[in-house]
Amino acid sequence: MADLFDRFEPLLQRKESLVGDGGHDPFQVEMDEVLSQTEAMIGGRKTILAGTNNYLGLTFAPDALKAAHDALDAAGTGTTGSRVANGTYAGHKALETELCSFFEKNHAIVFSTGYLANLSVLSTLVGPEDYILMDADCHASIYDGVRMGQAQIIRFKHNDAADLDKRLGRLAKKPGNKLIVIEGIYSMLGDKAPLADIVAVKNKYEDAYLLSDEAHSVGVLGRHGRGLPEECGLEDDVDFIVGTFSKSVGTVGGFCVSNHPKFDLLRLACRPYIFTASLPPSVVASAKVSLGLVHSGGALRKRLMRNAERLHSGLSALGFHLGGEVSPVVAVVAPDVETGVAFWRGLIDSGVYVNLALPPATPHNYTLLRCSLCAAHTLEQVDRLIEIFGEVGTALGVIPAVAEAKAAHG
Amino acid sequence: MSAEPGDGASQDVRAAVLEVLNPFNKTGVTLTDETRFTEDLNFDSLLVMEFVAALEDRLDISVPLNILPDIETVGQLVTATDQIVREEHG
Repeated sequence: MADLFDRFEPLLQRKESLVGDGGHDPFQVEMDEVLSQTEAMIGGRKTILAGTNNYLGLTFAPDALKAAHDALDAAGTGTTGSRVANGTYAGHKALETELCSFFEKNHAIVFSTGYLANLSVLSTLVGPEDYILMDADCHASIYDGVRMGQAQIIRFKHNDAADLDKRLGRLAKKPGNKLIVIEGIYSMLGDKAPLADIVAVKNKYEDAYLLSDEAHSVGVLGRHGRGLPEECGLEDDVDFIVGTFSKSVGTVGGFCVSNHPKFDLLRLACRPYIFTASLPPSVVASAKVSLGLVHSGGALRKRLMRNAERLHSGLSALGFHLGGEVSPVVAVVAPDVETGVAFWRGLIDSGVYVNLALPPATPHNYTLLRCSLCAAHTLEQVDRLIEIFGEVGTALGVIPAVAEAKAAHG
Repeated sequence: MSAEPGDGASQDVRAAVLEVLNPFNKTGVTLTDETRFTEDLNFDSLLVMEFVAALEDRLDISVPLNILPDIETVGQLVTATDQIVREEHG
């Protein structure tokens, strides 16, 4: 008789062939102790964290910690209920009010994670007669959300507004609404959407709406950290913004904001909102405080971008192939999966944690050593990252030896 | 969709599907109605995406992602594509 788990045999084989030799497993990392926003003990070694998406370093913000402690004492460890049952406390409503004021929008809904926010909105907002036009490089939560819904799903080429236009044009005769789905910053390579071009295309079609997932850009882009729409001055053209509290906001949870007058109806229709427990009061309280810190976090954004530029130019100068423009995500492209695994292990053994990202979760089927920077990284830490990348990259032959590179550049 | 994959589809659609598919045939197998995308052509998600986009552009149609899980063979794709062409341009 076949075992239930036989169907995972190819997965097991791939895992064994990549990491089955007893070396450090990139997918089973344990943080023995978190020392700060930028350091943890991993395998008995003090390690620089350069892959946590903790862009502004707010995970230990004193005001957020205090708010979380107070809420924990006042309201307990959990709500034990859904938002539509017993899981909406004053804190949840206060956080939604804070989101409205942060984004200057009329409506906000808080979900239990960013993943659930995408699942909720994308599976519910559009029906069987409608169309979703999604950027091909969208995150797994977007793919899962649209699959869970009933709309017809069309992909357009990554960051290609002309391709979107062509695809919308083909659907022009069809009844039904069209929901365009993009991301402000794409998580794997850190590249931004060409928002002005996409908005221009959207505005050609009366029945088109635009949703942007700002998971990686809230806190990072825009004068007040409202993400790519704020940076581009196009906030009124984005109908729905989805985001997360688990990156710049430094805790966990997700949200969607909109000016659509009937937006709150989603509360009665989104299954991932109705059928899961709400966020615990301590998380809600810290998210609210941290949103305020994000709003006034201009200095943090400057430090973050300073770090990003330093890492990007340092790695670039060493001869690494980098995946995108300068952004808080700096992705080093490894020549193949095996080298990627060896590279990741070289880094972790030298006290550097980054994300190893493998196909098919990556654009162009790249193998990526994906770094994300933090405003709390010191320049010394960034320089140490560059130094260790250089050592490991040279040892593996990914880049020429430093002396050779210097000679080549004169 | 017809019971016999690929049967009854317009010859123009069949020719267009094969024309678009040819450059994606990296394994060099002879393309028939029974050729399977995953097993015979080693299609992964990235190739599927590029191929579907090329097919949409070649025939000026929209191929929703929703129908892809039901398509395993070239013949099934020809049938599904034929149906879309009839709906959109018929």
